[in-house]
Amino acid sequence: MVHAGRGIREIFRSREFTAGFIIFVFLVMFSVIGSALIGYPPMATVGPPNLSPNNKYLFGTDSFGRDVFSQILHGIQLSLMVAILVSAIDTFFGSSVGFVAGYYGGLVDTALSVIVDVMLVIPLLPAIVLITVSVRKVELFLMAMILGLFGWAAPARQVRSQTLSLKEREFISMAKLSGATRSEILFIEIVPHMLQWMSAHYLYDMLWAVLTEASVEVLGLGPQTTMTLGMMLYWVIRKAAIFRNLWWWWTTPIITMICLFVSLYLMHRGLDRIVNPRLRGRR
Amino acid sequence: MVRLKKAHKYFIRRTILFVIIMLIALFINFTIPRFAPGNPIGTVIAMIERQGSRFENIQEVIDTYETMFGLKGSIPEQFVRYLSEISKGNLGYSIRYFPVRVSTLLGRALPFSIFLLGVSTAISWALGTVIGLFAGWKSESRLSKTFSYVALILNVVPYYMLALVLIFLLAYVMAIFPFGGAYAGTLKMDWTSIEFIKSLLYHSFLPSLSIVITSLGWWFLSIRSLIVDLKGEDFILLAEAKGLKESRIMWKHAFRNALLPQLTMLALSLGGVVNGSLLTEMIFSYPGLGLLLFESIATADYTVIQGITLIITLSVGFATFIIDALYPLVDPRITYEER
Amino acid sequence: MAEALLDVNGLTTYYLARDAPVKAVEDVSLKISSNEIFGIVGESGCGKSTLAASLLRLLKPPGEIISGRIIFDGVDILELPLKDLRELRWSSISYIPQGAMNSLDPVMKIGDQIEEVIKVHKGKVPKSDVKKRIEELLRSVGLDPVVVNSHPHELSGGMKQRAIIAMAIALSPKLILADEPTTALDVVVQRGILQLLFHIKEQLNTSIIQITHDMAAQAEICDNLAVMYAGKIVEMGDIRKLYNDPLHPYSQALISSIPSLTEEKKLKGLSGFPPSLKYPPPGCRFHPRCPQFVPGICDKKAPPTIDAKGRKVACYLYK
Repeated sequence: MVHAGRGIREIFRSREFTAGFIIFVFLVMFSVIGSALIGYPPMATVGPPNLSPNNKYLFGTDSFGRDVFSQILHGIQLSLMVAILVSAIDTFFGSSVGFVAGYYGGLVDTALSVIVDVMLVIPLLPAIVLITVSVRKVELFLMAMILGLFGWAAPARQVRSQTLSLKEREFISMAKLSGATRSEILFIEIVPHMLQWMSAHYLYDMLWAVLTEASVEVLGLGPQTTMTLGMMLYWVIRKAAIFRNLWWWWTTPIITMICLFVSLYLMHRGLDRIVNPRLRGRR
Repeated sequence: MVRLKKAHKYFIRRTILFVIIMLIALFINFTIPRFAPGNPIGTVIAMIERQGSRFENIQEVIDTYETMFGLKGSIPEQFVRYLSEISKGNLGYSIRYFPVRVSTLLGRALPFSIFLLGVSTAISWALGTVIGLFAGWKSESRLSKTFSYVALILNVVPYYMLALVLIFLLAYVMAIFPFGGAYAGTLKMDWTSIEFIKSLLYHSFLPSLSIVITSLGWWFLSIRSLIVDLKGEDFILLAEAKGLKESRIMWKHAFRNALLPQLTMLALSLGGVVNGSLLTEMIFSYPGLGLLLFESIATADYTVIQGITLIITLSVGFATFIIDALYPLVDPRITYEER
Repeated sequence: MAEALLDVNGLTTYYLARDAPVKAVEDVSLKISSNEIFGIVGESGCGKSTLAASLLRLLKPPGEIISGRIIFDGVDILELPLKDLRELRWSSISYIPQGAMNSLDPVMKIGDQIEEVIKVHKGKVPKSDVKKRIEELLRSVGLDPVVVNSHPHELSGGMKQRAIIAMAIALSPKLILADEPTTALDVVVQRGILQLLFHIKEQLNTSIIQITHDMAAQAEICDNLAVMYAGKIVEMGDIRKLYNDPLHPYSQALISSIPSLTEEKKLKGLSGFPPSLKYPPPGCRFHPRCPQFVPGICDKKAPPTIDAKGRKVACYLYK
């Protein structure tokens, strides 16, 4: 526990992480407080369409008469929820698979590695497109599941190679020599390493999830009953918002998404520097 | 002689793995749409009936279509037939544009995609690498650090977002460039006409630009860090002791050592580049695979979607495999040990 | 006495830092004549590599030469414009850096790397002449000329070292700086390299500065020796005289730490650790570990370098 306290302080010493964290917290606060205060249902037609920003609708309305501001607020929350869920699935499942493959080796390893390689080879976008089209009605939860399905292969591979290299490391042999049992070695030596790496990777996965989700939605394959940031862009394209100079409708989701991406990326890089001491000396 | 044997074993192993992986990927690609709701045969028949034809023996018609669409027999049987048809180049028929073949549609769209993707990636890689080389070599300069920050941000912006911004700025506000398409509507597709080529380049500029700008950052950052690491190496110090000029050291020693990893990075990121450019095409209504995909989604044309997925899976998988297999040959430092 | 080939006068090199500079080389002076092997010996971190790098102005920031003069063949290296410095490098003074094994470019063939120095310094030379010269060089260091087409990773440690030496003599320089040329090699290979260096001095009339912490290696081939401690030269002179009768307490400790095959010796080490070069001890930098420390004198001002028994010493024990 003392470790954790020291660790947190060190994390914030990283300028990158702190910068990302600030932006991230700002977005979350903005979204939560905003929806508590304003709270138009994002999907409801509340006013005349294509209104530019005014006192009633802070970010104006879209071509359906929906409040853009609420859509943004709501969209942030949705993106984050999906990201957290997907990362949880991917990181845990992927790490477990990778670990088992690396630790036990042999036939288990070969079999699992083949599966992992297959998942890695399948091109992301077309495959997700294929699935979502086949399923027709896509809900957010389903979207998260599908993304989770595709994202676990990368951490699996990484964890596997990390496990393999850890297996060879001296301190494992030392532990074995000193008579520790297999599970003892597991928990005391290997798992803390894994946890460190997993937390850095978690953020990367969140970023990946948000990016991929956005790509799929911009194609029009997102949920129809809730408005996410990606779907906003889809409708922007469908309704030619750029050419009709509905700037409040297309700039706001883009700026919000970029803030989200950048904050996650910075946090990930900051953590990565700490977890990966190889990178620490560089500048 | 001993080295050759190890190389052979490695190569064979990679090939077998590749074939297995491809088969499994193809199977998944093949199976998924079959679980989709909706009945492609019904759609086609309804379409034809709408045009006024009547069918005498509907069951016979359905049978014929089922054979054409490869829907007869159990799933494994269908898969085997699917594979054999693919090897003959028959990808089936588009549901929406029946009786146009999928391969025809793909054939029309593919050259445009390859053109856009190929040219943009080449420019972006070359530009990013050269700028990154200098930025890495002079890594203490403020310019280098500023570029790094900018590149970091650009890294996370998806291609299509920049595309939207560029459309707004250059096509709408400044009206310099067209909104979309691949060439002016009035021209015929004629690769020998200068007019056509000019129009093609003019229309490809914006989509290309958005890909180049957003992917630049990635190449820039990767070679920059390679060079920064290399700068501290002993052999660079010795090069300086040899009395070589700084530019020579940077190009002939640092750059050459960074080139191979940088090229590999290019090869391995093919998948991501493809994904990004698909969406960019869509936004610019550029008639490549991306736009085709978008339209097929909107019209639920499964066979076309399948065809596109197939092509991308095969090409990316194959390219990655080639690079994986050939890399040890190229890098004099790698031996054929198990990875 | 012939004019010195290399005359270093009051060289001071620091590594600048935010709080205090690391005083790696402090007021070092030495003279080297032609056809001489000069050794510089000292513990790790005593500043000898920094000294070597300073001679050719190969310091990387934050290293900086603060003051001094380095006169080589009548020219002050520190005053040379870059273009002339680059010309001087390798053709007049070549350098075998520490960790020479990693000093070869991994993606270039050995032959090409040697050719590079010839091309850059000698300009247009007919290809066949270059090829002949390279093969000649490789043979002279004991390598089969076939390594011309090899990459560094295909050679063993000893072979790489020889290849670098071949490169170092390619332009027949008057002086070679060898920084730890035999460390990281096994003893048998070490001997071979040392003999090669000696042979080079004899045959090519080249002077060599050998920098190492290995006293035995120095004893093999050096004519004169300088003992360095914490950035300063504490004793310097003819190596045989130095070994038989070391004057400075630090040299005495070093000599007594060499095991002998002939006599039974008690190995005496030195207590304590080398001092920080950021905040070195006042006065004589050795005084905290010196068995003959005299309080009030040794910790006030740094001892001047004086002549004693045909050598130079920096110690208050001598007048």
